[in-house]
Amino acid sequence: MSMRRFITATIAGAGLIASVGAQQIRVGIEVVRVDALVMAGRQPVTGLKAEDFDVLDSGVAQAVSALSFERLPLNIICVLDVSGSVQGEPLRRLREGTTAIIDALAADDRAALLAFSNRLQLHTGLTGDKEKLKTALANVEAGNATSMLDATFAGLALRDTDPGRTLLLLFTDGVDTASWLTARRVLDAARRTDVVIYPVSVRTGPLVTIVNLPSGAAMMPMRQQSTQQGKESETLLKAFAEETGGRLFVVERQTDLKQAFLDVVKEFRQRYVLTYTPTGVPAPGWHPLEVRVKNRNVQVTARRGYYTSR
Amino acid sequence: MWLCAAPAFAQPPTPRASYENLIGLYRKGAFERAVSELRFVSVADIDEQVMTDWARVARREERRDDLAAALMLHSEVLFEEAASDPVRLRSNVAVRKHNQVLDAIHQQLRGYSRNTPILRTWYLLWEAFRQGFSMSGNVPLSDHLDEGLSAFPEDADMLLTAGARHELIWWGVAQNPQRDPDGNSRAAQGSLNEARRYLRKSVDANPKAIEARIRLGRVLMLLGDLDAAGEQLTANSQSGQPAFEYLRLLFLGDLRERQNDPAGAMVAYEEAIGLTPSPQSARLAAAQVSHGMGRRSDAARIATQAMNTKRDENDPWWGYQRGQWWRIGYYMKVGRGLVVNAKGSTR
Repeated sequence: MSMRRFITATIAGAGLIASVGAQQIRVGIEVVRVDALVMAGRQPVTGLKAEDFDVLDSGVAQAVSALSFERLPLNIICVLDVSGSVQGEPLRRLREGTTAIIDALAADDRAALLAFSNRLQLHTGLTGDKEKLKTALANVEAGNATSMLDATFAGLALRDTDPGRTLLLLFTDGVDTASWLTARRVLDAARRTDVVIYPVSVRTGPLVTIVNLPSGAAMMPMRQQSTQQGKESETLLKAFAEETGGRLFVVERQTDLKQAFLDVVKEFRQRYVLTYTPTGVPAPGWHPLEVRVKNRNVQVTARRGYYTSR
Repeated sequence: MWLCAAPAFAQPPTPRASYENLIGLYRKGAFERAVSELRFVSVADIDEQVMTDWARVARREERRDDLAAALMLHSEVLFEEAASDPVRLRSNVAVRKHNQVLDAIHQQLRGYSRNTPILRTWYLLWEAFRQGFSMSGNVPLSDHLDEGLSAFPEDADMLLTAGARHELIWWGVAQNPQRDPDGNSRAAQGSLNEARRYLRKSVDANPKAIEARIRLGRVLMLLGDLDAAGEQLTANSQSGQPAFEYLRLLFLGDLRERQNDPAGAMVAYEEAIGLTPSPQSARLAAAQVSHGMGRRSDAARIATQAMNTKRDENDPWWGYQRGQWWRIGYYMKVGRGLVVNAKGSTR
């Protein structure tokens, strides 16, 4: 039996309910699952046990009841910027990097492909079918403006009730120019899921936006990405990563994209998943989280908190 | 030695004559040809000095219509140049040259009269073009909006254009949440206040103009005056223009969210979706509200529907973000019409 089917069967067989929020999987009583990366310098720390962790939920120490490492199947939602600045060679590099992710999927892993310019297009939902993913990837075209915030939200919304861990790999090379949703609302949505966002940003020069006028005339307003705008864009991407426990990868050259994508997936596999039953904490509302490793000089990266409605 | 007469070749026209011919072509309605020739054919012969000098000597009253034609012609050439190489707009020599010539022509024209129909149209056209590029920061084009407002202080479209500009300035400040999380900085609020001032005047000048009312409603909402915003966004609900009706409902949904009324927001967003199903913004807004209400399956379903909408239609929200840019085609048509129908002498 595959790991995915095993987990699903275990929960269903016990007559329990996996909630849609997924940050909290309610199995009769409410439990919380936290995805944490432990690093010593640049090296991930392996071999830790549940008792090695301190978890503070709303400032109250919790007892970690279960811990897993490299064992849960992954859902990888690829949210890819294919705006005008990605046309040509950058798109080829983007396809190359995404293909590497598809090839790296394990038997129980799944991936989805969401490409965005000003318009969002779901090329394929979560699937483990590598050929289907590659065919979808081949159909991706680049052009137009950038709706990065809208696409990030749509990627978060794709998180389904499957108990697997979900990585949202957000690739973008510029600033948002067309979204309806605001950063504040998308950050709020990110706090309400257990999806971990890993943004990958490529520093580029100018961005071109093509707008078709209602009159039928087509012209191209330009959006010059200044150094300042680039920094601000990275700050926003970093906020997405920090809120969800992910990490921002910034690459200087398109040629480094493939390796960055592979590094993201590798790092995500090397994270711990801690489970605990909240005790002595107020509810509902925002629960700030703090995860530490006892007696070790290591860095722990985990989401900053979670929402609960009850 | 044989002596023979030299062949009777016609003398090539002087640069100034060539230039005046192009203006004549434009006046006769050969717009594309005149634009193309000025841009590609004649530009090597007709340098900036010739054009600027022509503008300065064309002072006689009967040349006013020629100046109006030149104003439109150079504007069209500049637009084409900018569109052909938008990435290097700031360093585009042709754009800079035509911008300077336009300054000279404009000075002459407003010397005759400050509030002619062609100047009104051109101020609106020029500002609409600038707004399309405004999110890139400083646009290297002369700013004539204040002159337009000064010459047409009660004109509803001019006031709307000014309001849209200040709304765009706010957008540029507020777009990055790390810099100004809610657009509450003094600079951002100042822009919104200016936008409100102009848009309210525009609505007063033409109460039936739906765009000014919708923009005013949004600006009031952004300023936190939610009741007043609601009044604007629920008035004149039947505009007869699907794009504006869609935007009105989109902003009304946003307003309901700010009023902590997610159910009301969903009603507005669903109405917008029912009105014109292809745009994604209302669907994503509805998905986000569902997500916030804990209805994750609904959110996933609606977001997926959004991403499967038809690709061949634009979202009115994308046009709205570029101020008056969407009106360029209309203003150009009006300007061309004024030039062709002018009766003044070409010489």
